Amino acid sequence: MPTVEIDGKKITVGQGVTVLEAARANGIEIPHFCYHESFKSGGLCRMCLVEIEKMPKLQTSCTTVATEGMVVKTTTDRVKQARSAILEFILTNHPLDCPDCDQAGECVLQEYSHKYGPDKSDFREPKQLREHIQLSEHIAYDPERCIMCERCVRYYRDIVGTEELAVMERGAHSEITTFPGRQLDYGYIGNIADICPVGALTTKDFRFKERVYNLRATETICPLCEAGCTIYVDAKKYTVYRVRSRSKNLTSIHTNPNRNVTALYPKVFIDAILRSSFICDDGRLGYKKALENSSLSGPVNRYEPENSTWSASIALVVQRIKQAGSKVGGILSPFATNEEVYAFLYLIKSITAHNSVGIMQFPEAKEFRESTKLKLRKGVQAPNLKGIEQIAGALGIKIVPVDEVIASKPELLYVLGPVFDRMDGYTEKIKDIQCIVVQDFKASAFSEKAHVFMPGLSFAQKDGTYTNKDGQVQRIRIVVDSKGNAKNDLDILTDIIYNISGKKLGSFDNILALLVKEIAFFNNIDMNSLTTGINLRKAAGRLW
Amino acid sequence: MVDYITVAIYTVMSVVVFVLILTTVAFLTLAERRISAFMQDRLGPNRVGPWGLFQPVADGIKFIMKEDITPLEANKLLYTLAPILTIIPAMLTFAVVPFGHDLFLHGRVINLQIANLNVGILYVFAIASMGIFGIIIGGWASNNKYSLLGGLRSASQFISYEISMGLAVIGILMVYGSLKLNDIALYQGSLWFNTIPKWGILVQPLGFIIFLVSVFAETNRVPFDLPEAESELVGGYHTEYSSMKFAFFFMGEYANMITASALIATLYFGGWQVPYLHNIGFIIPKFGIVHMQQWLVAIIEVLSFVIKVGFFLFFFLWVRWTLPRFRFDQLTALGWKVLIPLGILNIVITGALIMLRII
Amino acid sequence: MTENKKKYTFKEAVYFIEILRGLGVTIKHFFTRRKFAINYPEEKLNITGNTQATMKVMDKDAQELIDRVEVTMNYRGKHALLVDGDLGRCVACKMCETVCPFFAIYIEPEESPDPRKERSPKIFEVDLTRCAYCGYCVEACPENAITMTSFYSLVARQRPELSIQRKELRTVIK
Ligand code: SF4
Ligand code: SF4
Ligand code: SF4
Ligand code: SF4
Ligand code: FES
Repeated sequence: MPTVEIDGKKITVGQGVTVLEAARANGIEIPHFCYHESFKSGGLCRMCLVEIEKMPKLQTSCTTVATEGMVVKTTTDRVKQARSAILEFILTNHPLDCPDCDQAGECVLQEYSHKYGPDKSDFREPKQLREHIQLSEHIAYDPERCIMCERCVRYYRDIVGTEELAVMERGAHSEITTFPGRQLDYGYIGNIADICPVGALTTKDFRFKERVYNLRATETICPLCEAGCTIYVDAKKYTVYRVRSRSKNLTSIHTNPNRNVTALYPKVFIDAILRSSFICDDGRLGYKKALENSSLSGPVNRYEPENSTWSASIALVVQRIKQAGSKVGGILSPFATNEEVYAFLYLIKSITAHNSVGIMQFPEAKEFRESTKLKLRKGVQAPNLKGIEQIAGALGIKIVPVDEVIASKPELLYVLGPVFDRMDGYTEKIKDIQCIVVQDFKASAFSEKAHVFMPGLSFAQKDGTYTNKDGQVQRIRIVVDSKGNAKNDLDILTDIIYNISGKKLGSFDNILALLVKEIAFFNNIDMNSLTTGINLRKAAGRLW
Repeated sequence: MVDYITVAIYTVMSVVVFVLILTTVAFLTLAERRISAFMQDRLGPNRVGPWGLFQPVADGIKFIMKEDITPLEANKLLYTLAPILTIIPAMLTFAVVPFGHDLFLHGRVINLQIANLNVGILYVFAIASMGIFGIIIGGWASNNKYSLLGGLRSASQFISYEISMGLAVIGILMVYGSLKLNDIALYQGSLWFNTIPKWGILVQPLGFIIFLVSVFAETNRVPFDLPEAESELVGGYHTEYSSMKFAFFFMGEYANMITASALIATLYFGGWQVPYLHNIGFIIPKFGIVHMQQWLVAIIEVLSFVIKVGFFLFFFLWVRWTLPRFRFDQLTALGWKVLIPLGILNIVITGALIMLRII
Repeated sequence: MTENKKKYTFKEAVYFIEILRGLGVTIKHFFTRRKFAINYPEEKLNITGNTQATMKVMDKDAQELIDRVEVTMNYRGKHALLVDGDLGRCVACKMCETVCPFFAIYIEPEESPDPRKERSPKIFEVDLTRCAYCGYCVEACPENAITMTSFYSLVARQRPELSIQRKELRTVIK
C-alpha cells in the first residue's frame, strides 16, 4: 500500500491507483476532462497536469500511478500556468458562447474556464464555424464545442464494445463521427450525452427544453425494469424534464456531495460502477411513460358517478370488501413498491380465505444489441418482482398467475397498479365479476372496465423502496409535486385497511420500519443509506 | 297692504340670486382647480368642454351617481341633517348683501338686495354661526375619530375668530353708524376731504386686516383649514361623507366663500360703490358731472360689486397656494393673543378718531 | 422649547409683509406659467430628443439604435428584439427570462437557422402587463439582442393584447 503526499497531505492508496483518483478520493480537486472512472485513462486533454517532485516535467495525474514516497503538488504557479495554457488552447476554436449552449450550468469547461482559464486569448484568428454532424436521431453533435476528450469514443469502445465512434480528420478539423455506413443505435446512446464534459453531445429529447440551473435533481431509481439503475430525475415544479444517469464525472453545481463516493477500485466494482454510471435509453427517454401522472381528475365511481369523491369511493370499496368477505381476489403489479405490496398483502391476507395473490406478467426486457457488452436490462420489466416474492413468502401468501385469480370467480377483484397495458387481455374474462376496483396512476383500457377507479401517484410523486433483482433495496423519491386530485397509493391502502379492521399501518416510514422488523429479508437494510440516497444493503457487501 | 308686485320682484330676485350663487359655486370648484394649477405651473382639468368649462357638470353627474354610504354605526338622522345644516345658512347669509343702489321704478323703491333688514350685519353673524352646527354634527354623527376631531377643531376655531371678527366690525359700525349693510355701502360713497371715497379699507385699515384674517378662519380656508386638514385628519369632518351629502358640504364651503367675499367687499371696499358714481352719473369734484341713465348706473354698480367679489374669491385661492397651514396652537394663539387685542385697540383708535372728527 | 426658538427680525415677526411677498411669488407664477405638463394624446413627449446627452455607448451600434429604433439609454419603454439582416440576435438563452423579477418573459427555443448559433426563439413573449420596465433583461442579455425603446403608449382593450410576441418585438436594425 503506497503512501503519497499530495499538497502536503499524506494519503495511503491501493495498488495501481492513479494520482488523480487518490486526490479526488481525498477531496483534492484536480481539473480534468478526459478522465472518467469507467474507462481506461487516455491522457488526452492534459488538463490534469500536476507537479511531481523529482520529475522534470509536469505529469498527467490521470495516467500516473501513485507510488511510495511520491510528493505531488497541484497548486503551484507552474501548474496553474499550464492549466491556463491548456484551456486557452482548448478554447482556440471553442465558441464559449455559453448562453447559446445547452450545457451551460453543468459544463465542466465552463466551470474550469471560470476557475482556471485565461481572461483573454492570444489567438486573433476567427473561430471556426462547423456544421452539426448527424450521429443519431437521438443525439445532437456539435463539433465546434467538442474538446476531443474521446470519452464518447472510449465509451463505445470499452463499455458498449461496438466501437462505432471514431475521431476523423486531424488538428483543428478533427471531429467525432461514426464509421461510414454505421449509425449509433438506440439502446445505450444517451449515456454519451451524460459523459461528454461539454455541450458537444446533447440529447435531442432534452435539448433546449429548460436551462439546467432551473432544474432540481433528485436521486431515485429507474422504475422500468428489475435492474434498478440509479438515476437522477431533473424536474421543475410539476414537470419532469429529463432522466440521466448518476454518472460520477460531473462536477457541476447541483451535485450531491455524497455522490463523491470514491472510484478507487474500478476493477473490483466495475459492475456496480456501470450500473450507477450508465443507463439504457428506455430508462432515459421512456420516462414519460412511467413518470407522468395523467389521472388528475380524482376517483371514478361507476356506481354513483356523481358521488365520485375520495371519501365516498373509499367507503364504497370498504363496504364492498366487507360484503364479499373471503371472496376477494387480489392482483398485484410488480411496479408497486415494497410498502404498497406489504399493505396490499396485509389487506388480502386479513380478509380472504385463500392465501394467494395474482401477479401481472411483464415481458423480458429486450436486449438492445447482441454485440453490446453493456447489458443493463437483463431482467423482466418489473422493478419490484424480487420484493414481492420476499414479502409474499414471509407473509405466507402464494403468488399465482392472474388467470388463476380470475378463474376462482371472486366477487370483488382488487387490482393494484400500475397496470400499463398488461391487463388489457382480460377485459372480456372479468365480465361477470360484480365489483372491480383498480388503483393506478394512469387510466388504461382495463381501468375503463373498473367499477371503482382510484388514481394513485406515479413513481416521480411518491416515496417508496424497490428491491432489484440482486436483492438490493433501493429508494425512490418524490421528484415533483403532485397536482390534481390523485392520492398516494399507500394512503389509499392504509385508509381502506383502517376502515375495515381498525388497524393503523401509518405512512411510508412506519411501514418500512414494519418491513424491517417483521420480514427477515429486510432486516439488514442500512436505513441511513436509504435516507441519504444510494441504495445499500449491508448484507450484499456492496457499495452501490 | 301687501304690494304683490314688490313681493313678486323680490321673489324673482331671490331665485335669480340663489341660482347665481349655485352656478358660481359650481364654477368656483373649477376655478379653484384651474387657478391652483396655474399657480403651480400645471394645467388643471381641461378635458371636459372648452378649457374644461363643463367640468362642474361632469362633477355634478359624478356626485349624483356615486353610492351614498352611511356608516353602519353612524347616527342616521344627524348624519343626514348635517350637510343640510351647512348649506342652508351659507345660502341664507347672502340675503342681506346689497349689490346695487336702490332703484326708483314707477314710484316704487326697489332695493338691489333681497332683504334690507335693519339688523343687517347682526343677521349675518347670527346665521353664519349656525353653519358651525352642520360641521360639528356631521363630525360627531359620522362616528369616526377623524371626523370628530375635525368638528371639534371647527368649533373652537369658530368661537375664537367670531370674537375678533365682531370686534373688527364694531369699528365699521362706529364709523358708519348703521347696521344695515345697504347704508354702510351707501355711506362709503361719501367723500373724505372732498376727494377720497370713504371706503372701509381707508378708514379702518387695521379692522380690515383683522376682519380678513377672521373671515379666512370662519370659512375654513387655508391657512386655517384645520377642520379638514387632509394630511392630519384624512378628510376632517366629512371623512365619511360621499355622494350628494359630501357635495352639500362642498357647496356650503364655497357658498360661504362667496358670502365672505361679498361681506369684505361691502364692508371695506364700498360694496357696489364705484368712486364718484352717483344716481345721476359721475360727479367728480372740481371737474364736473357726467350724466347717465339710471339703468346704466345700476349695471355699472352691480358689475363693480361682482368684480370686487370676484377679486376676493380669487384672493382666497391665491392665499391658499401661498401660505402653509397653521398649527392648531398657532391658530388659537393668533386668534386670542393677537387679533382680539388688536380688535380692541382698533375700537379705541376709531373712537379717538371719531372724537377728533377725523372720520 | 424656548431656547430653540429662532429670533425673528421685525419684518418676519410682523408676518404680513412676508405674506405679501409670498403672494407676489404665486401671482408671478399665475401670470408667467412655464410649461411642464403635456396634453398627452395631442402632444407627445419627444423622449429620444432629450436623452442623447446622457447616453452611454454599450453597443457598437448604439448610435444606430438611437437613430433608427428610438432606443434611448435612460428611458425604458416597450421592448424590441434586434435583428441584423434576416436573423435575430437573440439566442433564446433565457437569461432575460431568468433574471426578470416579474416573470414577464416566456421563451421557447428551437434549433437556429443561423449557422453561427445553436438556438433561436420559437416563442418569445413579453407580457407588458407584468413587466415593470426595470430593464434587467436588457442588462442580462449576452447578445445585446433585447433592448427597450422609447415607445410608451401601451394601450389595449384586453390583457392578452399586451402580451407581445416575437414578431411584434422584432426590429430590424440593418
Ligand atoms: S460547451 Fe460548455 S464552455 Fe462550451 S459553450 Fe457550452 S457551456 Fe460554454
Ligand atoms: S463529443 Fe464530448 S465526449 Fe466526445 S470527444 Fe467531444 S467533448 Fe469528448
Ligand atoms: S433576448 Fe437576450 S437574454 Fe433574452 S433569450 Fe434572447 S439572447 Fe438571451
Ligand atoms: S424590463 Fe424588467 S420586468 Fe420587464 S421584462 Fe425586462 S426584466 Fe422583466
Ligand atoms: S484527464 Fe488527464 S489528460 Fe485528460
